[in-house]
Amino acid sequence: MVNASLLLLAEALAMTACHRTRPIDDAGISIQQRITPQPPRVGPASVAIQLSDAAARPVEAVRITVEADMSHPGMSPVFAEARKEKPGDYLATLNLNMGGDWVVLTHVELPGGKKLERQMDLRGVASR
Amino acid sequence: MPATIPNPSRSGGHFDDPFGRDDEPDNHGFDLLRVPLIGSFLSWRHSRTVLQIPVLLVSVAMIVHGLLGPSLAPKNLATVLGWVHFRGALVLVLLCAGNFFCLACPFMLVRNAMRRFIQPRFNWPRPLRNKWIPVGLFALILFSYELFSMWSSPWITAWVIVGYFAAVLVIDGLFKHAAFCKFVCPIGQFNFIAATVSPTEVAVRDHEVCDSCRTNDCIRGRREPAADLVILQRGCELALFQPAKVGNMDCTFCLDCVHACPHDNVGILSRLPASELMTDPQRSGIGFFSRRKDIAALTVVFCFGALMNAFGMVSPVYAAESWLSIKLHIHQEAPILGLLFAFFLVVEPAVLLGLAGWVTLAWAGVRRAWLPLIVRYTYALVPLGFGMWLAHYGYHFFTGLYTIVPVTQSAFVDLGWPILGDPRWTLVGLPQAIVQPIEFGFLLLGLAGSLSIVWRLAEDDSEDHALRVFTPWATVCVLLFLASLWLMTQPMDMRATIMAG
Ligand code: SF4
Ligand code: SF4
Ligand SMILES: [Cu+2]
Repeated sequence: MVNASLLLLAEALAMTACHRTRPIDDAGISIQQRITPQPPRVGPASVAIQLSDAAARPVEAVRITVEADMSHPGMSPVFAEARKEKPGDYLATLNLNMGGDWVVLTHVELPGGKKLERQMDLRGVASR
Repeated sequence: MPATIPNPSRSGGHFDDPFGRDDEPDNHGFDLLRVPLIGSFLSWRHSRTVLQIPVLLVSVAMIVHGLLGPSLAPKNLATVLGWVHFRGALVLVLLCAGNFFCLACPFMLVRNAMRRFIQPRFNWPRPLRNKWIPVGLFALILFSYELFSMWSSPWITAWVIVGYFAAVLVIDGLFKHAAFCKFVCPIGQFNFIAATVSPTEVAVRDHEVCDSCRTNDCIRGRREPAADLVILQRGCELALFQPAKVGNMDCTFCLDCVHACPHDNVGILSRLPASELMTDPQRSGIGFFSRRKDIAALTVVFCFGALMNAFGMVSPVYAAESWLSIKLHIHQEAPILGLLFAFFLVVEPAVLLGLAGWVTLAWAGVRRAWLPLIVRYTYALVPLGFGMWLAHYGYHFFTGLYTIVPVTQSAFVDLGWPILGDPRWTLVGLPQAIVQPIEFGFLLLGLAGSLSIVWRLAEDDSEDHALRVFTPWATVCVLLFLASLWLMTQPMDMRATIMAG
């Protein structure tokens, strides 16, 4: 658990700009995420998620949920279920209801019950 | 409204009595120590320890989770408990009851345990027997809170708690009595200032009993009858002598005096909130408020810091920062933030209070010098400042009230011991529509309190021109109230780095 959290920390530190697509390998599966609009602002935000294997072939998930938390504790998180656009491509819409720093968590459930999680910073969501 | 409240300073008590106390016993209607169960529990010698143990366990859990748990603040006990629940509960308890956090303070539990083995040898240095160190520390904490975005870092939060324990042990390991509480602890000073508007105080039940007391155990400690140097129950470590004690300043509600008094003459008594700010008697262990520039400075940081702390969380702060950064060609955060703090904690209060003091002298002809006059009226701002802390911390507390449930569930899951089930992250708190009216209520309460104090002080300063004395200070109060109102209606915008990129 300590290692996992250190990894997450390192990952979070490495990701200073969230809009850059950023593949992360885990069990040979790469997860790419892109959030629009950029720069982010209060209101609906789309999270496009691409799953592929080591040979760049699309990977199907059983279920993908996206959660966004503010960097401040005690604020209400927002959740969205991603829907499949085409094989390996998923899209979720988050309703960012407050300005500030957010962290987007993507929970992927693969066939066979394996679960992956990705954390991505979404800094400086502009309030209107 | 203020005119209907009997004025203690005029009805004879405070100015005539060298101890500055109220002689009417009816001033206090209610005694918490006489309430069944609660009263007998608190009167028990070990009640403080019993209250401190759970708080200590929670702090240890916060440290461990903060250092080893998830790095995401909303999922970590250190940040959730520290910045949402602790701060909110602290101000609400101060508003509704008194300084019960200091009573349950976990730092003092560890320090008392240490003092079983290590007896401090030094007295706290005379030049430091004032509040200037805590004034600086309080401002420094507010500044670091913004600079390091403490709310978003469980790791920093955990280290702050560890650092606090270390500081307590070092200072109270070296210096006698409650040196840390009285002369260092910024949380304690926050509580002392806020508790001046609390509805209860630790006070003498019947002054006549004190008049005939020969032992003064409440301050000296109860001694072994055969050996006077053996202390069975210590007396007040904060140098507050019960018969001459006025109000809650410097009182940690530790109840040592309650246990030490051989006549069972000390209680936790009700009183009119903020009444201790309406008069200026000589206070045991403190002296006159109007002569304590250090406590007035603490009040300034308390009140204007409340606004600054809220300002750091709404979007206009980014506009202000980037404007400054462009104008001054400075691109690091620390100096820009430093300028903002200097402006809001030093320049703004100096201008507002300085002008109000000058107008009072010129217009109402009050016979006081300029600076002492300002010091005297600064205390009137406490309710307003406290209202702002209540509105801000109350906001986080109520809107994030239930988040402690999923975070605790997930901490147990992390431990590999999911006895509380899967975390329910959808549990958050009360809706904004309910919380916002509560905030405005706190701000209004603060304004009403501050205006009442100003009126009372003005009446004392000039019977003929009370309104002229009142007007400039009331204007300052209204300006601060409007600023608070404006802040609470700004869109929330909480960023780790406040420099616009
Ligand atoms: S003053 Fe500080 S250390 Fe002392 S009891 Fe209060 S919080 Fe604890
Ligand atoms: S001993 Fe001193 S600090 Fe403790 S409750 Fe009594 S007056 Fe307050
Ligand atoms: Cu806040």
